[in-house]
Amino acid sequence: MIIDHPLLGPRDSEEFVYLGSTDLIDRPTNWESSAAAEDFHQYQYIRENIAGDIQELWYHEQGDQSWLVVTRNTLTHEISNVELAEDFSRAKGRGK
Amino acid sequence: MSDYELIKESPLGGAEHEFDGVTVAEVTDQSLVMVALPKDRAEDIESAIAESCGLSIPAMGQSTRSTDASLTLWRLQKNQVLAYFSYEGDDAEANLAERFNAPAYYTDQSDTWGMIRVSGERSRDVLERICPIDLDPNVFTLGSVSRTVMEHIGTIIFRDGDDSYVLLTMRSFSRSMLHAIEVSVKNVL
Amino acid sequence: MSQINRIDGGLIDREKVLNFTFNGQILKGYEGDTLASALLANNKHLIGRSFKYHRPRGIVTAGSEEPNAIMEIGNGAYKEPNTRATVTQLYNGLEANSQNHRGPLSFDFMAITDFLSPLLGAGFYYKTFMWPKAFWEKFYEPAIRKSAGLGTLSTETDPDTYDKGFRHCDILIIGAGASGLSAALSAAESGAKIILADEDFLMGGRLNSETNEIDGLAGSEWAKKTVAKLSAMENVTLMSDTTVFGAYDHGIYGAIENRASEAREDNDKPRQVNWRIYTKRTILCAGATERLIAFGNNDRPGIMLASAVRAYLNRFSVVPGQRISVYTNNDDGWKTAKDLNAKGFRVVAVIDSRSISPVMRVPGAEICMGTDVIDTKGRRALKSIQLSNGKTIETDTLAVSGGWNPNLHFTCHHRGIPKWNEEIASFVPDSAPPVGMSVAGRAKGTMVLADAIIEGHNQGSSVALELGYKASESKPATTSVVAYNISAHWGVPSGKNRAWVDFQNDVTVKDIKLANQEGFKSVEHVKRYTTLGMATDQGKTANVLAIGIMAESMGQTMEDTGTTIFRPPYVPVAIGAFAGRRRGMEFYPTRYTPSHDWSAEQNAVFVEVGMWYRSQWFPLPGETHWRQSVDREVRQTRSSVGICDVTTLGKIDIKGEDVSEFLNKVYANAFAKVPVGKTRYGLMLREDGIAMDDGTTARLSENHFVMTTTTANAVSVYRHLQFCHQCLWPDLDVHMISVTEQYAQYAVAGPNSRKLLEKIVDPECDISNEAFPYMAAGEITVCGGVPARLFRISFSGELAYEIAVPTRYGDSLMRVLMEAGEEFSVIPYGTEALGVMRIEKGHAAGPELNGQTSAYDLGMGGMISGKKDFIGYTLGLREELQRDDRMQMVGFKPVNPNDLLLAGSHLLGLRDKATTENDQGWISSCIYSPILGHYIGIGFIKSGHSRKGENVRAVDLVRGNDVEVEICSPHFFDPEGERLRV
Repeated sequence: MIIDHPLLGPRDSEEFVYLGSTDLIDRPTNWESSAAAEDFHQYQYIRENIAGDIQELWYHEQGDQSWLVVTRNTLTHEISNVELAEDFSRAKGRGK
Repeated sequence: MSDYELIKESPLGGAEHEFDGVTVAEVTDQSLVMVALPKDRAEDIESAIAESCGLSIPAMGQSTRSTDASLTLWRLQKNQVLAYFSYEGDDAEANLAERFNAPAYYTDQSDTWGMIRVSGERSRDVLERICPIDLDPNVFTLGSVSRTVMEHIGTIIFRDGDDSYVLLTMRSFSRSMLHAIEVSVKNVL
Repeated sequence: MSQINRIDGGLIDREKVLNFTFNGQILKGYEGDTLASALLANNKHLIGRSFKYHRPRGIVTAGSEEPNAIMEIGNGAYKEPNTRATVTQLYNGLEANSQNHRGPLSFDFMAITDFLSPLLGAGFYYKTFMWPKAFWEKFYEPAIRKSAGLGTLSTETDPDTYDKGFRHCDILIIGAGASGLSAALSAAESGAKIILADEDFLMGGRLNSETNEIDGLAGSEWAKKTVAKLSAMENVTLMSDTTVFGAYDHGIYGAIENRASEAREDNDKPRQVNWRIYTKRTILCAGATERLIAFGNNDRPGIMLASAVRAYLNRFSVVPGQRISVYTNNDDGWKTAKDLNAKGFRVVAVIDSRSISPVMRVPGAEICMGTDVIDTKGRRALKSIQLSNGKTIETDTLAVSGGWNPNLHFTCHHRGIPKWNEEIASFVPDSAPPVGMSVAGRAKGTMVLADAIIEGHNQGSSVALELGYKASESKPATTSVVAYNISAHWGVPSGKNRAWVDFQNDVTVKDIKLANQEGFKSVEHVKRYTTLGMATDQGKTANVLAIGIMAESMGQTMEDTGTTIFRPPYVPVAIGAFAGRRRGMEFYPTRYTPSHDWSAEQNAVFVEVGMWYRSQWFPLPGETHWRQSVDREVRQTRSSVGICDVTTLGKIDIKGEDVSEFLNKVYANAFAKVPVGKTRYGLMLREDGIAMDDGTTARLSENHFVMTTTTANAVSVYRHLQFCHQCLWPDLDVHMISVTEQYAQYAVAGPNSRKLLEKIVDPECDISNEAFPYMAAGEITVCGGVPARLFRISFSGELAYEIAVPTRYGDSLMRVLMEAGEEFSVIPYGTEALGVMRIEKGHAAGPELNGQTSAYDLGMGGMISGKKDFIGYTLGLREELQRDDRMQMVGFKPVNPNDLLLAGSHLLGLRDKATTENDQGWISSCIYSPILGHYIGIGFIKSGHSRKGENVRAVDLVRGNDVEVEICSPHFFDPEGERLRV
């Protein structure tokens, strides 16, 4: 499997460690609210099982140590997009 | 004066082996310092290094080298550069910080890595048995640098000559890496 | 008589005579031979026995599709069973033995199974060995395994070495026949980087076995010239004797390269190299494989594929028999007769199943059109054939051509499904091969050589163009157009005689029909029920034939019948080739600690901790049991001073303006206000509230922290921190780098530790209790200016420090500490003593941080900050995780101090039976405490925190231990921590 790293070009997936869905980026911020328990439960455990394009987190452990968002098709295994998780996270409004 | 003296030692005790077409030798005269580039200071740091050393921050996977070849900057990560320079003192971090005069974060990595140079006309034939990176001279051009995994060992590879490559592995892995290279030599030559 | 079947010409080197043995008999062959061609040259036709019926069998093919000629090569530990003689390059000293017979090959005692064959049809195992059930394991299976089967393993360790390698290219071309060479040439001329791989040790494919003329040269000459031209080009890598075996994701291909010809007798070189080829595009030019026709007794030695007869004749200059006949359903089969005539051999008969005019004149041969072979005679070698027109023809070799099947295997590796093509009467590649792959030549179903060459040429050029290289200016090679006409013909009614379809697994037409009758209608089911196509040859010659027979038997079309598809590997691959060099100690690398050499000098006993080698204990002369050494190390550390190498613990330097804030988010306890010069214990939780790791983090300056992790989690904690930073809080000014290997770090523990350190710490650094109290941290110098970091932390519970110096001084520091500590009788201690002391102190470690325990369970609930958001806060508050009757960590001590206590014991009520329902918990860590003079353990028991003082039983049924223990605090030694602060 090859992941086309946005900064380094195509790299063998052996260099990477897989984590899971990019849902993990959407960590709730409402820890003091009464909805926190439910929101964190959703965040931690509830995933869609998509037949098609999914976005998932891969870590370039044996490389530049960047976390990447990889768009992969679960039916064909083709990878259509790879971006830095850092940028993806910021685009979702995360910062400090 | 202290009653006790500490004696320094390189990871492989200066190992050097010559084979027909390949030389495998430990590199012991270089220091390595990580220079972290905080986002909001990256430009200041770049101009400070340009001013103090005449070096630009290299593109990813590339390096820039001082005119006297004593200092090379490697770009392996977006937010940092690694300085690879001829220096053998215990204070590489302070030494580089002073040379650069740039508001970056410096961390000494000299003792983190064991360095082995594989050189000679058959070097690529030996390395293709362990290195997943494309070492085609037109692809991995002079000064290219990359971090990958070889024989389960996280490894930085730097091309420092036409047929010369420096392999860096975490120090504790040095003997395993030297062994891996020697097995390749035996299998190939 | 040596090589009586050898004739003039061919692509062998008669100057190089090679000696080899077959079943002990010494034979000769030439450089350029395969084992199969050399056997045929020596008139060896009977070369093995079949899998199930032990039928005498001969060589059928001249390639990797061979079903019969599979042998044991080499002897002793080097013995390799099931090796195809047709692709084994001959070498001096090669030792080959036929397999699967008891007694001599010519009289196999197991051939009785052949006469029992009416009982042994498809599915007979399933039907026959059903009862009594108990017989299966003890009797039936061993008996079946013994009688049916292939070669035998040496059972010794494989003495050969294997290697792996990585190659990169723009275009991988699989197959170096006419179309592959044409594709390689046009693609290479464009400037693209090419790898051309071929399973044969001689490139050229069928051109080496046929008599075509290309560009005015003999086909094999043209191939040789083209290979030479390619080999001179810098952008081309030629890999002969290299079988591509699988197409994997995103342009990765696996290929096995055999030891190069010149080194094939050299056992020091790797037997095979398993290449991973990374390519942007692939052109599959794998050619085609000929298939047989199913007729009665079509498996006798001497019945071969027509193409194989031509290969032996033209390439290997071996004529396989004296009286050769041809049986075909297509024009191509006639070439065999033509080539035999050209070499001066008379052909006995040409039998063509089609009712058409003869394709060519064959002088002296009997021509039978619209005729079939219906039976054959000759047990150990073919003697005669019987025709459907009633004639019997004496013949010793029958060249059979049932048509050609494109080698489209790789197009199926990503689940492409081949489609039927009536014109060539075979399956051709699906329109959706693996991404990046295109197909040219006969592999695509382009059966006419002239067209295949043009197709290869054009694809080489167009693929290179698509990749941005310039178009090739050369023209494709030319050859005369020879039509390929075929009329599908699968099997001939054979009456009582069996007609074989899959030779290697002994599957007959009858078996397939029986499967259909019994309700197996899907080709996938028939395959599994009959085992068709499931032998080591994966049915390369059998599958399409079988589908044809199924279609006929079920009265349906080939499209309706469909086809099985192919998975990697294309050919059998030795497990050793997948392991490569990663065997024994090279299974994974070894990490050595800075004190390793010194420890080895002390005869330390080492233990593997992940990849690390750590000192487990340091036996002194006279100590015969590990406990003696470990007890001494503990006592000496607690009474004076001991040193332990703790370099393996993860160390992460964290710099930046927002580090405090960051640490506050990743640690469960408060970290916002750690003063400079102080270190703090930190507990890290997973987001689900379960304990992940613990360690200490010191603040060395305003924006500089150094975190420690456990040895086991060093990598995963770093990864987690990077996740937290990059994915959750990307704008925090935080810069992390691992410094685990930058510093050699030693724990110096015991009441005399300060006195020892004062001897090496430079005088300007004050490490007195006042200046450097418990939990202090700082940068100092030692031994006259060497930079160091000092942390006053303790895992042992003693007055203790951890001192770190640049690793270059690690070995030396160990020696200096031992020398300086001599006056205190300093000792080194290993991981066992470290473990004893941490259990005496009740510190949780790996066995307690087991992925199931919350901070509350570990007794650290009080540390949890309720004033901040941190990883694990919200979900850690879940009711289930806070219940009082969870498994909680406490200490255990035997009521009788002489009792043995074992880790892994389960905890039961005093009068409870040892059953799962009564299980209350377990002992997770347990040691003998030399200080307390009895065993102690820590572990988990329901509601443990409120049950201190209660007695339960610790039961280990495996090791037969059952003792009464008291639940107590896990802090066995110095619970107030007074010794830490002195």
